[in-house]
Amino acid sequence: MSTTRTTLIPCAAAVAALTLLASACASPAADGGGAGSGSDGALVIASWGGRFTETTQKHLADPFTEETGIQVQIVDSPGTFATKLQSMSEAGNIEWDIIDSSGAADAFFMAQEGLVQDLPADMRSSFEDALGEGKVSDFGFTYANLGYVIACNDEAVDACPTTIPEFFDTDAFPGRRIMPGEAYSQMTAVLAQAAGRPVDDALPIDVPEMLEPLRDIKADTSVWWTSGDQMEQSLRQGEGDLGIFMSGRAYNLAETGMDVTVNWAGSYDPGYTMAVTDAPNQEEAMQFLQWVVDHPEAQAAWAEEMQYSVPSPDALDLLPTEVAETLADYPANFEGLAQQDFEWYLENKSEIDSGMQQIIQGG
Amino acid sequence: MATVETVRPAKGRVRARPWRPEAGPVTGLLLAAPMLVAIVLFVAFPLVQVFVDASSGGVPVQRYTDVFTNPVSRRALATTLTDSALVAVVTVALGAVIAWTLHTTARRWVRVLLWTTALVPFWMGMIIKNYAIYLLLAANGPLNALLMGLGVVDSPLSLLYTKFAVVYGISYSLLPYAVLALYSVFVQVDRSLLSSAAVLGAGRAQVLATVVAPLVRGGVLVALALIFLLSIGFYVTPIMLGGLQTPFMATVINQQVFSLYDFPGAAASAAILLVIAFVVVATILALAGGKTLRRML
Repeated sequence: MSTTRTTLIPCAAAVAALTLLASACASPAADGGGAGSGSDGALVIASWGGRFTETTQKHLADPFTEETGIQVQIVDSPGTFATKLQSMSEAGNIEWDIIDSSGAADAFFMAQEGLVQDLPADMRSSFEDALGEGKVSDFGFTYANLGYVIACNDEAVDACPTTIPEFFDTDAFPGRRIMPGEAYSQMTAVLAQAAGRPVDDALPIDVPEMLEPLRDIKADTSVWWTSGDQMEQSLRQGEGDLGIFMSGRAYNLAETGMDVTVNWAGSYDPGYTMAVTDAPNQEEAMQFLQWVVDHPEAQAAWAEEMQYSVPSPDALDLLPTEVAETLADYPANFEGLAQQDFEWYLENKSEIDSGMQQIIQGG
Repeated sequence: MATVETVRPAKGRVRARPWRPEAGPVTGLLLAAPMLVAIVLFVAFPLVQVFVDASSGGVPVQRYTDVFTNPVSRRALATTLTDSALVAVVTVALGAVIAWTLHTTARRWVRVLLWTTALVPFWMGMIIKNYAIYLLLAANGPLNALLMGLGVVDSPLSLLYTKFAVVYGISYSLLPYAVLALYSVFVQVDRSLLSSAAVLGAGRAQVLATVVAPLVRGGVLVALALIFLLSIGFYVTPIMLGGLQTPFMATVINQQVFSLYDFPGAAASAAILLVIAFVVVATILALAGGKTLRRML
């Protein structure tokens, strides 16, 4: 009995220690970023997780695989494309081929850092022919586009502002505001309008001048949202009465039975789908980009499911009007939105970001 | 050890050397080796790296002073420390009542109920726990409905995105740690001391102050330190229940990494938080004394 125990305890201890070591080793790979080594030559797409990943899988990746025979693996890295890609690049171990709809400011940052590749000239011009000039950049095309728009709980406000200057006029349009808390670049185009700039020529602007309206509206703001779920819950739970919302989220609320007015005034916020520099599967990555551009019906199905807009004008035509008119690229909506100026934003990023952060969080 | 050997019937194979119930130092070290390697690799190395990162590049000293001069991080640091101190006091006070009752009650159902209450937060995921409180405190949520139904308030209170919500959320998460830590100290208080004191004429308050307090003082200090330490690292609760209005350092560090791409700045913020945590704990542990620590561990 005693001899059994003396051997059993060290064994158990050793097993426990090894398990701990193994799990500690395994944990960095478990959070989605380190999936590349197991991809076995499959095209690796970094996406946003949840329903977004499912929709990209169903309407883009699966039909792409069916047509080309190229396997696709989607890894989730919501909101962390730039930082993860940067550490992959520093470690010399690129695991992703495609970035699915990165936020635009992040996309331009990645392009500036050389983390994503420029499109070949002929490819770029053919994309422009198919999608329109404003929808293609040096490094990719816009995807999952949306608007930062005005949304109001009709039960809580008498009238919903139809323009950004009206939204910032808290005397004429009283009510507690729900504002983006960390969407610094998107907010530049909104705040510029609040500072008196026209919609079609909002940026660039003097940064202190732009920050004034934010400082003024702080007292009437009850929620600074940092996630889409929080944005929806805030209006639903009555934490605020009206706000600057992501367009898809605002329509979500209307769909779940709330009386919500959505006014297309605010800023246009494109995403960018692009190929990663030194990607393990370069050729397949380019093939994927080409495939998405060539398949407006796939884009349309994707857009209908996600309520985010897609670049192809043909895709918008394929959609039922009641769906198309909820999307940011629908002409009447697009006109109401100011464009962001990403190059100007990146040049002044630290001044803009810390300026807004200090007003929002500085007490 | 020799006695063990003598009482063993000497039948079958007899060991050449007398055995010892505990392993020798070499076996011990070997068995601990994987753990030591893991600690060096995954705890010690990253901690050192934090200071290396913070000091890399041009302006290392300014990076540390920035944490105090930048209004955002200064406010976050102050919020983190004051809220965590509040959490420590609230949680230890509640935990003490629960742990003391667990120690003294004769009723089985009270013990079962209290253990369940104290341990339920352990069984729920962080997000579930916070979401439950988030819904509870909503402007049109049950707590406001109750207050308005009772006529205490006329219009819904803004309970979310306040210090109250953050302290409530973190305290709820940390209550089990306080109860377990305090219970282990309280069970060592001999209850006959209390009745002796009572027999000799001491009142309830006097017993608590002159008999119980000196016995548990160290344990309470250690529990305070533990809760404070766990609290200053919270991320999910402050962001979900406090929003950007009352950010913790963890929120600011996250923004430095993911919005501002300022890795050295984030490392400097983390380093300062770490140093403050270390100083607070060292102070409290010094106050508590080594004897308490040995008894608790």
